[in-house]
Amino acid sequence: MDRSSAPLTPAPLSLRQSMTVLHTWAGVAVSAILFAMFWMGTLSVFDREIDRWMIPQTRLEASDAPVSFDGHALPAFRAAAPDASMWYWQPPRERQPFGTLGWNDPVQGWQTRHLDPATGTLLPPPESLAGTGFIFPFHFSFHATWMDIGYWIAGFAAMAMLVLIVSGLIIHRKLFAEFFVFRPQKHARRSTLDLHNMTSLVALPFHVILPLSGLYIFFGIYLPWSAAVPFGGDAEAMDAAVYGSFNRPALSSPAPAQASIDAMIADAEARWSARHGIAARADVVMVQHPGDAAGFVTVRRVFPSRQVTMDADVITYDLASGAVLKDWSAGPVRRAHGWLSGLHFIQFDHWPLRWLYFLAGLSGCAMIATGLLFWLRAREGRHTPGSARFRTMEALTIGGVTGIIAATGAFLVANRLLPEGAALWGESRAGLEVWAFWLVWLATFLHAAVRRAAAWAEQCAAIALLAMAAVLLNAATTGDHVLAAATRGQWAVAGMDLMLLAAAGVAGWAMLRLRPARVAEAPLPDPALAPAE
Amino acid sequence: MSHTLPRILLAVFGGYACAAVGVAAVGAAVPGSGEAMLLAVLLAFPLWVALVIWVFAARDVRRVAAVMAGVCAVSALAIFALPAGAGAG
Repeated sequence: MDRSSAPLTPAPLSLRQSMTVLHTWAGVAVSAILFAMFWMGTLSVFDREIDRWMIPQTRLEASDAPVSFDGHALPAFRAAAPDASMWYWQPPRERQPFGTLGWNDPVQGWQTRHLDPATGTLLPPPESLAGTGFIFPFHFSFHATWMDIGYWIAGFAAMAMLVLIVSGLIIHRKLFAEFFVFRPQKHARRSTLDLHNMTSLVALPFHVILPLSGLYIFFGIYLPWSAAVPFGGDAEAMDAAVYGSFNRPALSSPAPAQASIDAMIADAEARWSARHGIAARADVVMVQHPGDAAGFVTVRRVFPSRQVTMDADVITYDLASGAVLKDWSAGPVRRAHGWLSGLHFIQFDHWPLRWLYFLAGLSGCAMIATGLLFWLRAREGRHTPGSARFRTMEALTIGGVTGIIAATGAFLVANRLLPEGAALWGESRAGLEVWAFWLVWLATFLHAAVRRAAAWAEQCAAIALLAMAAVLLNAATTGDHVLAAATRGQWAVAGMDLMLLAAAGVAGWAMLRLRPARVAEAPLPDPALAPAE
Repeated sequence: MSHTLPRILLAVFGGYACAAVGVAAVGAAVPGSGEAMLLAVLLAFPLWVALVIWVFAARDVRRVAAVMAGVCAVSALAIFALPAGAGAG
């Protein structure tokens, strides 16, 4: 509340007024963070398709050739990672026409390679974190791993999002009527508020379920002590009860034999199929302590193709004998948790729903951006235009909205510009792509601080140019222009190019709408619409 | 701002404390059960949201703070009185 106009004894606020205070504070505090989460989450809906675009050697034709762990993955692991403490394997699936091998290298840390199912050979190293390695983890951790600080920031923002939704619903009494109201011909602030209300309501269940399920997914980070209490504070025992995990230390003596891992996978799939009455398929295999007498194999069904509930079946086998060590299936509450998590991850095969998620994610981005814009515009007339407080918020808003989109464009352009094996100052090619993202994002905040309102149009122009450049560079460096990719059945690549062209078109249109000359012509906003502080 | 800051602090830290000790108290009451603990987790986050709304809707924030402190104290006592909770502490 403005102190200069406050009475000596302030009157108690009504529920709507107090919710307006809450909505304003929570929104201003986390909107830039929420926008980053929503933007990256929206892109993550197509993270595997982004991988195809950014890692051209994985643009393989779908193959029906059976892929065997013992015949294909095991020799590759033994050659590439004989000393690793863990081998991780994902067989090919619809959106990922190759096998994925991962291992913990004692020196280099986590390594990933892809296996061509048609030839059984390993593809060259990916040299890019791409969608699943950069965009997806950014969505929930911002790649800030120290003390899990990124997860905590994301969790705080998710809680704020839920509070914003509830307080927003209380503020807007005429909810149903507002859903159908959009007045673009009105002055900028009125139409911004209309768009904010409309995008909030059009995907309301999505805006509630996604932050809530995100909190559920990482409950072990947000409530670590509480979650371990029933297990005497033993986090490993909690993991065993909730996720079906199994562990035992290595014996440092070689295994006398090794059972067939293909047989273990077949056994697990047969057990699950009998248990659930469907054709169940294992999609993750982990070999712990390979070659050791205490080695064991965990076979999981993390993302069932025709089911929302995820990660509800795990069987662990002894590596040497193939005997079942633990057969775990989720209980009813854990299934509910797995269903909510599955709703968030959207890894089940359902393309129309995937596109709906994408559109709902974009509506979330629009909701947050218009909320921030409305807040800024409501204060334009009240604060000194050059005040540090206003300019800081303006720069944070512009950099937080158009800036992160431009940075994502720079990430894609860097991916196509950097030569194979590029390295600089100890950073690998994948690291340089990430640096391009961060540096361009930082530059957009500085640009916004200097150029102020003009930065909106200029950053939209940058987005349009970067998106077009990415499409052209993809065609130039891989030969997979839209038509060629579509002809070869590479819909992930063609789809990415088409979406980039669409993004360029939208950004170009926004640039024309937001150019300073046009904004200056717009009628003055109505001060009566300003929300309470 | 002067009226808002205490509410923000109470909503964030008080709400978190209530959610955390609530989950822990359920866990301590049903030792060894991941299902009971998870059920408490599923309820804890919506409860936290409700507490935030209450903190901002209430006319007297001190009353909300007192109720939240009471809930936390009772839950904490229950946790440490029960064998599973004492072990975790």
